[in-house]
Amino acid sequence: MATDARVKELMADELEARAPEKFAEAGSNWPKKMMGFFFPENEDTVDLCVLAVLDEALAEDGTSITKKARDNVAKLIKTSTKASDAVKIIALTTLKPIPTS
Amino acid sequence: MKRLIVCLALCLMGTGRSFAADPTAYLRTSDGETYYVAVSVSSWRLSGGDVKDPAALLKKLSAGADPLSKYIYSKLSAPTLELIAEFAPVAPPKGKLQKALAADLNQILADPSFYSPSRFDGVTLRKETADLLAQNPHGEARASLNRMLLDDAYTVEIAQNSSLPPLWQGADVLKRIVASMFYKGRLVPITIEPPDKAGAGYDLKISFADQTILKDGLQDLQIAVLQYPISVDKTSGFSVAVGLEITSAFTLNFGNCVEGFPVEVALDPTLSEKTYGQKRLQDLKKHLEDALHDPKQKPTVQIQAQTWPEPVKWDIRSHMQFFGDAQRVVPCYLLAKDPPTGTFDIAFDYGANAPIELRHPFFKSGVENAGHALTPGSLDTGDVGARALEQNLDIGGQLSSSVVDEKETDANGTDVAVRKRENVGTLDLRLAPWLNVLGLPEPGTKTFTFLTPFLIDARVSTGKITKDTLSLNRIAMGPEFEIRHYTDPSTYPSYQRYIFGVKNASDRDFKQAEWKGTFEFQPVFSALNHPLKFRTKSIDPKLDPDPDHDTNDVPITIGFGQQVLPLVGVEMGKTYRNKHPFAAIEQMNFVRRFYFGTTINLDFTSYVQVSVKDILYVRGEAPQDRLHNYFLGTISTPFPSFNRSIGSTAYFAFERGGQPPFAKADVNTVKFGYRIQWDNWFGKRR
Repeated sequence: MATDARVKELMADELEARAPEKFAEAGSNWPKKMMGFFFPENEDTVDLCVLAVLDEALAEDGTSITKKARDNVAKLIKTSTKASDAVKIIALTTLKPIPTS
Repeated sequence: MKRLIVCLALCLMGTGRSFAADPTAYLRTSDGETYYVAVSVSSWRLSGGDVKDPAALLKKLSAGADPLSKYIYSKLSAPTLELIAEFAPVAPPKGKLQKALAADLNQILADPSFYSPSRFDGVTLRKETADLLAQNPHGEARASLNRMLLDDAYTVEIAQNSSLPPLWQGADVLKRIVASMFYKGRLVPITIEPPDKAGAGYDLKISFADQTILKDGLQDLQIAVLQYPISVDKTSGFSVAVGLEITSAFTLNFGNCVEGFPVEVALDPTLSEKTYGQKRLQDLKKHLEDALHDPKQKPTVQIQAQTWPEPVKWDIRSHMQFFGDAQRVVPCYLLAKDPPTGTFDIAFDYGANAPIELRHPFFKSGVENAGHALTPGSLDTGDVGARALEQNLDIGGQLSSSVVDEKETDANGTDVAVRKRENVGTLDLRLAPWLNVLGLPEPGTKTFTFLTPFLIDARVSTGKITKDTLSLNRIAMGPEFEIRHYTDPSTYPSYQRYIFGVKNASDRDFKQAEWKGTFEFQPVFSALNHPLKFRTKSIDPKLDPDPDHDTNDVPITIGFGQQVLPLVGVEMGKTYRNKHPFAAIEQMNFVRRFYFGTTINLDFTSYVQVSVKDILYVRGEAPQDRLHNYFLGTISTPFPSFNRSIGSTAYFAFERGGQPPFAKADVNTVKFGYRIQWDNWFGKRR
């Protein structure tokens, strides 16, 4: 159950490590950039980045999600997705199902 | 009217200084139906402006002038220390540094172990501080005590906030408060009460009997605290809007809610005291759950497709999943029947009797399921059966004009070769309904695997098949498996593609057929992979009045990009049908080929791409005709896309040389055509 703020930090770390030039160019405006700004025209590298953030967030929580949910994250986040939306999608995906009464 | 209220409040303000943190007012309920307003005023928290003399404070902290300064400095966060390092004492500190210091100090004050006798050795405490310290308070009261201690230690550097005990310390203090509540400018009768319990996180409770004022939401509600004690002999005042501690809205689809409509009901992240909000969150979750089975409370859903003149009522399923944690509850609503295709708007309404946090309209516009558009990056009209396949449907039509050698008998009765031009129309089709049925890389790995269970790669032409038109009349079909490993998954990635296939290849009329196993290796090097489309520039939308607006990142249209894509491959198999072999097709029972080459794509602008491909084939099946070179040069220009999933390109190409199955005369053709690519069908991308 990573918070949006924590996922944002993890995303910033990954982007800085994987696309340092683009991250520096975006500066503090990076959440407003599309993932394709950092990884243009390549859905694979976007997937590798967002899955690394998701896996890291889940590891910090000491939890896991289904393979289908993990695949869905990569399906939902594309080169045309804003980085801030990617952060939100990952944070929501780390939420646990709550039992209904 | 709001102006009048604010004026009224400000005019009646005392001569005291402003509050340390902005006062807040939140609507609460204890029974789900009777609401009251909780007002927080004398927060112990610091805002940036409360660090009154940051230069002096920094001097004390960084020098470790006393045990407390030493302790505080050791607790500062790394970003704040970075800002301190950048701070030049000759210039006034930036607001950013003041804010960072205040944020760190707030963290430190929240720690119940902030006070220790040795740490405050030498600090003169006021009587009220010493009195409160003797009571050893907990919770919010402890944090207030810590702020009083901080004020006593840094009387000049920090704005003094806490010369008055918290309001729950005595009813006498409460009597000094004068407050009013206004609804659309009309005075609402209220009762001012102390908070429910000491340290509950707010300073006064404003109760009101007329609950109908909430029917339109909170935007028309205003609190004016005309007199509020800020020290023993001073008062101040303020005006504040009433808010909710819980927000609710449609949110983005996420991993566990892809097809549904998730609604996020969440605590305001800026809240310092979350006890009420967390309990309220559970009440709301119960309401959302019960509402699904109660027709009177079930949310009304309306959908309007882009082409519909009126919205249509839609039903939702009675069963759904909830996701969440201590901060939020996210129900994932599923529609009872599929929404309309294309783009549509959707609205939820929980009704006028729903809890106030859910009473506002929920609206989401422009909902669509379209995927990403893969505009053709390079035009690869090469060898049928060995071409990149990254769209579900890739269809093109072209006119080819080729030069062929024909034997004619001259006047002397001698056979002579005569060059003739032949024009044909060709349909170029690549179809793979499921591009990939495999999943994504496992955690920690950088290797993708793709399995395309069935694909058709065909090129069929008008007219009779001859040896000169054989390469324009081939149909290959079968599964394909690819391992794609990234050694450098950066902006300009380096990766290797290992593509395995089993293909059935035949001529257009299925008169000669072969099966073959294929393997191709395509390394992509970062240094050689900088196409123009990878580059963007930021355009500032100057008409947008929001100072915090986004910039638009658009592809650079003028410039130069390059992409060098080497490849090497083998094909091995057997000819299994040879019933009526064409003269053009060489008789052979097996297939054994090795090839290597390079494709170079050059972007001169984003509108014109020149692609050059050269491949050398080494034929194991024909020792007497072992080497064939194949060259393809293409100039292409993208046309406007039909929609997000369909792109199109016009191209002009020159093709020369031999390709499998290698007719005796090489191809020598000029072509121009139009190509449509369509993705986002079934399965995953490739």
